[in-house]
Amino acid sequence: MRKAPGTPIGHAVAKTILLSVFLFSPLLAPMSRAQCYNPVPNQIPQLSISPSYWAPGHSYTVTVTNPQGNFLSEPPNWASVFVITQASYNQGNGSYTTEDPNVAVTPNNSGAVYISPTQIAFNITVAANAPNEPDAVVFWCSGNGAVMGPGSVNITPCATPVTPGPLTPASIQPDTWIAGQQTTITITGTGFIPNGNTNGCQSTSLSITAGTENVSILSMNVVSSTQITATVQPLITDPAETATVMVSNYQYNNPNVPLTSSTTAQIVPTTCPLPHIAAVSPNVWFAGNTYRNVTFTGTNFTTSSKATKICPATTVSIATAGGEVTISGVSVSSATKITGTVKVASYASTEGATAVAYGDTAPTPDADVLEAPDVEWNGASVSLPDSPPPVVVGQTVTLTTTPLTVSLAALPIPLTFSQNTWVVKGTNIGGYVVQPPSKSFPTQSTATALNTVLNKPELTTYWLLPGALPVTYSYCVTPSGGSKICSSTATANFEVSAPTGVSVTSSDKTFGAVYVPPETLGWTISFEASATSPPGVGGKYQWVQIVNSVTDYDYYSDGSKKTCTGGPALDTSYPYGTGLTADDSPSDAISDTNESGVNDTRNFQMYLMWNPQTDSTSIPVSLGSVSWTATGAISFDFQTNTWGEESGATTAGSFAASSTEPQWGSAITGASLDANCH
Amino acid sequence: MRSAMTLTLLAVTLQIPSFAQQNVPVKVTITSPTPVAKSGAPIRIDVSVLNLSDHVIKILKPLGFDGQAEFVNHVQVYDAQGKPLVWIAGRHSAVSRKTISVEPGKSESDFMILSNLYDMTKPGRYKVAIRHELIQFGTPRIEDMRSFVPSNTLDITVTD
Repeated sequence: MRKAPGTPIGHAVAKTILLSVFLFSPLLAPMSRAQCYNPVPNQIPQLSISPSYWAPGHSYTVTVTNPQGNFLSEPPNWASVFVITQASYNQGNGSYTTEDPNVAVTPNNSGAVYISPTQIAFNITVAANAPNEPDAVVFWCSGNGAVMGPGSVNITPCATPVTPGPLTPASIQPDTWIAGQQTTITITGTGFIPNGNTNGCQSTSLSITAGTENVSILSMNVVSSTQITATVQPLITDPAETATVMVSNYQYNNPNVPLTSSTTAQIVPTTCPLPHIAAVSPNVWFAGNTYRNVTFTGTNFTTSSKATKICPATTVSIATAGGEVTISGVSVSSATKITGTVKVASYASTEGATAVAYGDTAPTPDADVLEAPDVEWNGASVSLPDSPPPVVVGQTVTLTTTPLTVSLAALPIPLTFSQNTWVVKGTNIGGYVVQPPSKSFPTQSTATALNTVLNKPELTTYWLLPGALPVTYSYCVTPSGGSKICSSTATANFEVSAPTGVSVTSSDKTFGAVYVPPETLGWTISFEASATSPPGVGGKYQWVQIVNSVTDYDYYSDGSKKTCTGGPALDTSYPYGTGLTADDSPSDAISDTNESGVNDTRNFQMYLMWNPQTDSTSIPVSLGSVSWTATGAISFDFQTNTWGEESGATTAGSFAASSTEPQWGSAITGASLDANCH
Repeated sequence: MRSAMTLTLLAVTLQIPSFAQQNVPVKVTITSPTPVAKSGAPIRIDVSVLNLSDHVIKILKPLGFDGQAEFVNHVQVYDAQGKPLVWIAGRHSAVSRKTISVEPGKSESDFMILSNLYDMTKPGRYKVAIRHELIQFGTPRIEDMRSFVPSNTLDITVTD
């Protein structure tokens, strides 16, 4: 190891000094003298060397590019150049131990010439007997002792450019090939780089084109510097045409410009009748399925027993846009029938598939590939394993699916859904439609809870109760002339939450009468609810009251009686009120001076509902209800000419939690009740 | 048969439970946009209930749309001789009446069409008064929960 620690002292001892620089102080502080380049602190510049492959016995002018661009031209403008063995270079501290004795930097190590801030150049000569080995180029600046490098180079005979050929048509034997037939050819010439050559040089390559297509090269071997053998196969559909045969040698110092030589050969059409597949059965394939004994019918199939060199046994491939369909076990039963096993990848898309018999000049799509169903919400998959976000009761859950109806219609064999099947676990409805009363039509009001529609490609549902609730979807199609076939099942698991700790208490339950015209019976009741909404969802609480029944008896002094009835119906307005409290004070005024008694019984159902208001179409869901009854009777005492003998009460049951939505077909008002007396 | 029940306004006041004046939390005022109306024309009475207290109170309001104030106000109409008019609206029940909140110092208004309730086609002067039914839920003594608050008296003139 050459090692001379100390301070750089001059040009004559540059190599020795360089050793100390690399070993002990690769980044020296700038000195006052002019320098060959300005070092960037803490960065050893990585150099690009061109040419970087040097052949033994050759001389090169070598250009060095430093992307830092800090070469200097001021005198004394020189840098010492050293070519070292890469094996002796220490990347860690920039030291080396061995200069390559087979590489001479001419005229001497100080011969680097300034070209530009990013380039310098020097000359080298490689000894004729130099072995193959990787080297490195490093520099040392005499002015400040700064170092650069390494730049990688290789000493190899491969660096010597060799042009193959020249080729002539006679160089190719045979030079006439039959379309679709495998032909083994021999190419004779010079300058071929054999496979497995001792210098490890890249071997000669071969390419053959005919028209706009490549001729298949099934195998190839560069036997020697003068001979190549190869097996080629033009397309069976090729017409009579000229093929261009080109051999290429790689240029190590100019890799984008290979050295080539070319000639021509002739392709003649085959005399073999070209096969064609006309139909496939079954021709609808679901993703993830394997179909055995798929039958391909057509013409000009060649069986194994009738196969010849010119007309080999017919082979079949399945072409799709995504390449997700494969065929195996192809068996040619006759000139018109082939069977095979078709396997469709689980991730296959909905697309057309084309069964292609080799040589078919006009294959047409003849099968459908149907993707596995996917459930999506807001455009994102929620099928396993893509979990949907948590939802709350009353929230609109609209799910779409793939494949789409339009995708099926666009298939080579157009299809339509023959069945869409959803299974939605948990208590759910497809909607809650309320038509509130209007001022013009105060009794016209309806509320309907719709069933979730489970037989369409799209689903809209609202859960009424919480839980971990799965939704599954599958679809079926019925190919023309076939029977219904169905997909696998997609599953989405929803976590549904709802208000907790729900309770309603009733109080202020009274009955009383006012004996001043119009004499009036009156009742009171108030409700107070308690509930905790799911985290992050406020929502709105509301009350809806249903009049289950009203039966009011009016007695008259002539002994007659009227009965006024009503219900079940919505109590006057929707909603009854909002918030967590509500009250009611029904009344019944007596206004007929001939009336001698009244006996009223009214039964109500007060619902507490919660609308999550998570979206514009969320619905209120029932949390439960309280059934309560108002009864009251008064009569006229003809002895005292006064009203009295009153009895009555307001009674209420306990709150009953229930997810059953209140529904009604009409509303009841005081006027409508009074009008329904007989 | 029930002529004995024909009462004067004074008698009405005596028989209906009401607040002692100093405890009345609301003031009830009636006005009419049609104090002078032609015979047969609709006669509208506006009822305003003002919260006099320092806290939110709740007042009754018929469920449904405005214009049914008679369901929470006992109304009486007297002719120029002080004779009460006969109710012509027949049976008149409220299936439900709920309460609404009134902030301190604020008032809530509703109205009724008086001419639908009484025959006021005869030209002359009429006096109208109402008693607003006040139900205060949560009152400690349940018998105190319901009371009636009298309004001012309003003159209505019906012309030929």
